[in-house]
Amino acid sequence: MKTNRMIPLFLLFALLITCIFISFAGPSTDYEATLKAKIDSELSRGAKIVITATRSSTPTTTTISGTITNVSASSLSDLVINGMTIKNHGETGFHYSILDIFNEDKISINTLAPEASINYTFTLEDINWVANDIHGVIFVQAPKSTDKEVLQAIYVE
Amino acid sequence: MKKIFLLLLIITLAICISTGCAPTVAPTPSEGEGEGEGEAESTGDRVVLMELFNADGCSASELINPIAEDLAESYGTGQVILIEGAAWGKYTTSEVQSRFDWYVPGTKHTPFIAFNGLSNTFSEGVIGGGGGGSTPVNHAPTITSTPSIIATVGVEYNYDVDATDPDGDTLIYSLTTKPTDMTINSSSGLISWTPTQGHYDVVVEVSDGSLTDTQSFTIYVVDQFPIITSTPITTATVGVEYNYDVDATDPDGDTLIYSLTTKPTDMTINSSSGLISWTPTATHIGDNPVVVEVSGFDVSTSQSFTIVVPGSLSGTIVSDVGGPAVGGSLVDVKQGAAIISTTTTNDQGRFGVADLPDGTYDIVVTQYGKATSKAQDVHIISSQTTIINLVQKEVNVPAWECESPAITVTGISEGDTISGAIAGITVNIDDDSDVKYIFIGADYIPNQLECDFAYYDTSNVTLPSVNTTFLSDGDFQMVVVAYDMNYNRTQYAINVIIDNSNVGTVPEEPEFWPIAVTIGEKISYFSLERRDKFANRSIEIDPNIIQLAEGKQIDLDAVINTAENDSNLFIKIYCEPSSFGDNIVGYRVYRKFEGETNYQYIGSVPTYSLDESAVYYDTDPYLAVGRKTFYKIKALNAYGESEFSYEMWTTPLAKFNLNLISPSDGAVDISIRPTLVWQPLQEIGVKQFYKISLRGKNDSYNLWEYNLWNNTSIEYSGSTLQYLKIYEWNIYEAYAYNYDYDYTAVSIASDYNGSLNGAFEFTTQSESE
Repeated sequence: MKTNRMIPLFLLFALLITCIFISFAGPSTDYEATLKAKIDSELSRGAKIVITATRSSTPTTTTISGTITNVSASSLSDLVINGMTIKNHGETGFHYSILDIFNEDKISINTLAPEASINYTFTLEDINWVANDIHGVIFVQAPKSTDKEVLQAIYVE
Repeated sequence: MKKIFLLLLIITLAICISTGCAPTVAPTPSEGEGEGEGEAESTGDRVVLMELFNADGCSASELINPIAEDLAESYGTGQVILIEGAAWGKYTTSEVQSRFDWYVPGTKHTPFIAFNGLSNTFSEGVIGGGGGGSTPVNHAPTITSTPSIIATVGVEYNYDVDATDPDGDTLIYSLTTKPTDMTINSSSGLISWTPTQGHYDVVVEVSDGSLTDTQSFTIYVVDQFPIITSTPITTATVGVEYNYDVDATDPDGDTLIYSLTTKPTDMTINSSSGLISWTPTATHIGDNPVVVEVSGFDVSTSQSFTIVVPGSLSGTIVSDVGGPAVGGSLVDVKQGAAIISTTTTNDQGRFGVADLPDGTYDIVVTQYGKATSKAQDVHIISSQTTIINLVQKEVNVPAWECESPAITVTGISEGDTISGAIAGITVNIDDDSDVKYIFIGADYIPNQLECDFAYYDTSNVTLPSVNTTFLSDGDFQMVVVAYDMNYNRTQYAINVIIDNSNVGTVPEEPEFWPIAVTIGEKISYFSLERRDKFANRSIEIDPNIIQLAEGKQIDLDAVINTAENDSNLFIKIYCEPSSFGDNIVGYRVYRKFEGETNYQYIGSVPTYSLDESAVYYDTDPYLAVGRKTFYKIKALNAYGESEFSYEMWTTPLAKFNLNLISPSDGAVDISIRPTLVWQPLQEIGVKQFYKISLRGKNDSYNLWEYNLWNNTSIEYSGSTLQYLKIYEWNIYEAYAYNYDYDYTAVSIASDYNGSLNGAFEFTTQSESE
């Protein structure tokens, strides 16, 4: 009987401690839910753009090139192709802090017809991508739209 | 006991189910292929770009940061890409600041998250960093566009109001103050209106349903100019009535009033019909300038022309150069001692002789109490009108003789064709009394004459070499004027032809670039020139032009140079030779506004010496913020003008101002390495420059100066500040730029004068903290 009573008690306390921890973290769980709801809301809107990206790096230069394609049924206007580099600072800071934004090199597109594609290339000088564990993002934005919407993004390892 | 454990187990499981949300783990994108390479392709699914704006050391940021990072990792980069930037401190760059600036409204909220730009936002209020509520904080919309404040009667006025809302709310536009019949599209913000005469206050409001932003401005409606459709008659005959019926129309249908602002004596105009009537006399022989003005409601159009009355001789007598006319003088036309014709000057000092045979004459002007004035050896051709303008001064001593000097010139003769450098010209004066002075000169052309009007106090002068290289080809008149001690005067002109056609060529097309300069209220100043131009066009004074504050000056750097005598909005056109050796003496500037077809000549600027650059200031009141303005220029030298340069343009920026934010004025307990934060009142230009200063209170020198582009905060990086000491900081230079190859437009918020609300003082913390 003793053995039968001790096992559930151990499991019960372990479960209780876990849940108390979660319970203390309750407000942050609310934030997580709020953030998640917003992410899911965005995900559910579907994509109008498909991006491909290829990176090639030397110790001093990295080139990111690719194509964006309008996969929606209507023309898209006033777009820009832009990008960023990201550095993971690990435990000492932001995991995904921005190093640079390609703002001065961003590519403006007046109109992109349905099924039309446009090639892009960003050349990054004086950056050792591999050695410094740099990552990147290429994104397509409609900066003149009311909500300055980012239509699509792609992560570059 | 077992029941209690069972109850606890059920409660615990319930809590876990209500708080835990197992995230969906999405597939990651394709990995990089080998060292130095990587490939990825988005699928047809949307990827969420989650941009998190943090503040290093902010408790709210530290709370949300790991949640966002964990969440992003749980989705994977195939669905969610998280990037982070900092409001200040570590992990921030000017690029990061500029990206976050446009969607983080007003005072920055930290943390702040934008999903796919502004599609969804998540800000301070939600996570409790600034107040801990669970309802998202609504942010007010901001109007970002600049209104056009000049409109024309009867021409549709449009202004498309643009606004942004940090929350992505649907915006509704309305007009709370407006002229009759002005409308606004509540969805797009497009204002439409057909203006009538006057000026009108407008207030436009944009609302997100609960919060609003407003923009107030005044539209100045300019009347359309009358159009003169008739062509003037430009010849008249002595004794024969002259008539010219001026015809004009007005696009607004205004009643037109005709008047003469410049006219010869006895000319009249019918103010209603525009009929000009005039009977010329001999005193009108020669050129008679006329300006007729046709006025509409509050603007007018003028037509300038010259009526030529043919005759052999015409002229005007004045008491000094630029002095009043001398009426009542006797004018004798003589050959030797014989008087060929006699006439008298009228009230305007004019005289004329209708018919003189071809020949050489002396024109002698006398009047009791005045010195004698003579034009010596005047060559008259009967089929042409010779113009002789003379000075007749008051006599110095009435008892002295009144005979004019006689002038003899050798080394150059009437009708000579000359080129290059001329040497050996001698002038000799013969008179009963001593010669007081001699002037020898020519038609004055700035920077072009080797031989200017020169003064000599001797009766016998041999001129230094006269270089004609820089004079224009064609007719040229060398003039010698001699006065004796009693102010009797003789004027002797030698007409020659300059022909350097084989000597040089016109310049190459010059280089130039225009820069539009807009000066903010704090340091802007009022230009009398610009005010007068507004007034002449019946435009009320632009309320955006604020008089220069006491003690403020415009002292711009090498890019902008000095802007004296200009306004708070002007365009500088830098002109320079495309090559040296063209002997350029000046530049002509031509302009057109966007939508116009033809370039108009607007003015010229001389060089201070040959082949130098020069700056032309365009201060036309029709220059306006957002109005694209095109220019071309030509270079000039002694042989003519160059071809047109290439076309360049600029668009003036709106006004740029900023406020200091933090440390706030009077702040205490501030770190000895403070972070300085400021805020532009409006986003202007593509690039902003700031020069920040920090000094001890009452110090006469800056302890620290820092130049910064495209950022609105900076951590102090000068020598260590002292504890418990009062410092002041300021931004004493702030410019916003637009540029293509070079700067094309600049808006100046501060130019050595500090920010709009600065300087701010703060006290550093105590050493124990």
